[in-house]
Amino acid sequence: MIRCFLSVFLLLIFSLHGLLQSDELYVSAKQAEVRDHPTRKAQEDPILPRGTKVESTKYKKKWHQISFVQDSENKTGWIYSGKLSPNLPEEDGSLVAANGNKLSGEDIAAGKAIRGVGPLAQKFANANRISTMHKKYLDYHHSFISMDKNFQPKVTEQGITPRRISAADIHKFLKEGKIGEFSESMPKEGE
Amino acid sequence: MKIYRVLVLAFFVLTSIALISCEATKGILNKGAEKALGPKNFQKVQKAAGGLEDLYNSFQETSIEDERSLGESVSLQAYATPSFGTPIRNDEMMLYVNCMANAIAQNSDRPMIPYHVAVIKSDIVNAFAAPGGYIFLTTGLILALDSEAELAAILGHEIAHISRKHALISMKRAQRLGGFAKVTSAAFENNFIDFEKLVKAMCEELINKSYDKDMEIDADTRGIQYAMNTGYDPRPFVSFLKKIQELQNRNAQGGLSSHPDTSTRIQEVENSLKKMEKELDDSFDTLVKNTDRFQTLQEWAKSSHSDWAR
Repeated sequence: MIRCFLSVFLLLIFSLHGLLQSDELYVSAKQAEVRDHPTRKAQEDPILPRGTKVESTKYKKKWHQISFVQDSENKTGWIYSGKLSPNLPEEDGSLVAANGNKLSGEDIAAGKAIRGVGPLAQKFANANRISTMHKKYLDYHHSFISMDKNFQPKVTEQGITPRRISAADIHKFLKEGKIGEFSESMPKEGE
Repeated sequence: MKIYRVLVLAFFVLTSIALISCEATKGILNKGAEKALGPKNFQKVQKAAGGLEDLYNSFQETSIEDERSLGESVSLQAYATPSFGTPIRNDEMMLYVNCMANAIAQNSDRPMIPYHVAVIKSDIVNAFAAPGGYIFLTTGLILALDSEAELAAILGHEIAHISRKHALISMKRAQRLGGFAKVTSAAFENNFIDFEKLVKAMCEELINKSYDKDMEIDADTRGIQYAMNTGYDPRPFVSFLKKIQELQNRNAQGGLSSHPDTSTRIQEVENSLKKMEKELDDSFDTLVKNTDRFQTLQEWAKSSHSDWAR
């Protein structure tokens, strides 16, 4: 009887110990760059997509030291904490078509920017006598498109040329402002 | 017999201690990584929202294409509204605000769609968002700010309105979606008269009215979290809300009445900030409050005019 109690007790303690040690996190941002060390000069490879599970082994000054599996290989690195969450991020239901196919928000945005407003908005504009100039305002409004893929810009009917905002543009913006993962208040080498 | 009792007692006591410490340690283990939907904040927002989550889930069949069709129509209606103001045609300025918004959106609840920001020449201090990713900032708003971090929280707030589909939720509460079998472009086409009414009501609400307080608080708390996830100090958002409150008290700006009960919002944001700093496990002072370039943005807002002749 004593043995039985001891066995169950030890099993429970070991299980709890395991729970306390594990700190599973998920990439909640669009994507997260894994760095060799949390400095601006660190290599920014590999990139983990949203929803990737990682294990946090250390937390220091808004950076997580993490381990993860990629291509059946155990890898380690550092990720800025703003890109991680303890919860698995939910899938964006608006990016699943009625037939179950995946939609790309970026491709849809680029299509609108190149071809101008869609048929429903066009019908609304015609029915409400919205002027060409107001359509031109909207063309300009959605002519700056954040997207990973490159696309061939084409001047719209209203004379607006779409402009792609690449990941490099966003990095440049953050780097110039010393924001987040480009901040100067990061752990130093060896810290 | 006695030894069994002692063992049983020890078993339950130690198990309880272990379980309690496991719960307590969970928060510590997750510090710094708790996001907009971290369990505590999420529960708080859910409590304040009172059913927002169910309403949000009711739009799962609405695709990004459907949302954008609606957003395009609402934006066209806004641009055609007299006294709305015209967008500033300045590519450098557009690059600034669109890079910033999309950088913040990448750390939001809905990072997989592009967001489009336009700056409208208008003295009214206001910002608003239309479904599908359309964000409007007025030059009056940009000039009323003291830092890039304030703008980051405002953009976060508008991104949250879009990501949580507040415009659709608001229309559902106002019973303006009853004429559509589903909230899809096909249903809008089939009942075009009601679609026109919907677009006009939505536009009127965005420009001149308010969302319900639960949605504003939801957008506030998520917005500051998105800004902080990106690396901006979220505290300046309180300064912005206090500016709104001051202007509301002076009743000088009609547009500001679109955010009611500002005192409650300030209180809710301050409560969230306390929790966020604890979870960050670092001082907010280490985050970015301002940049040199922000002054350039304000200069553009002040001097740019709408050059639509070309």
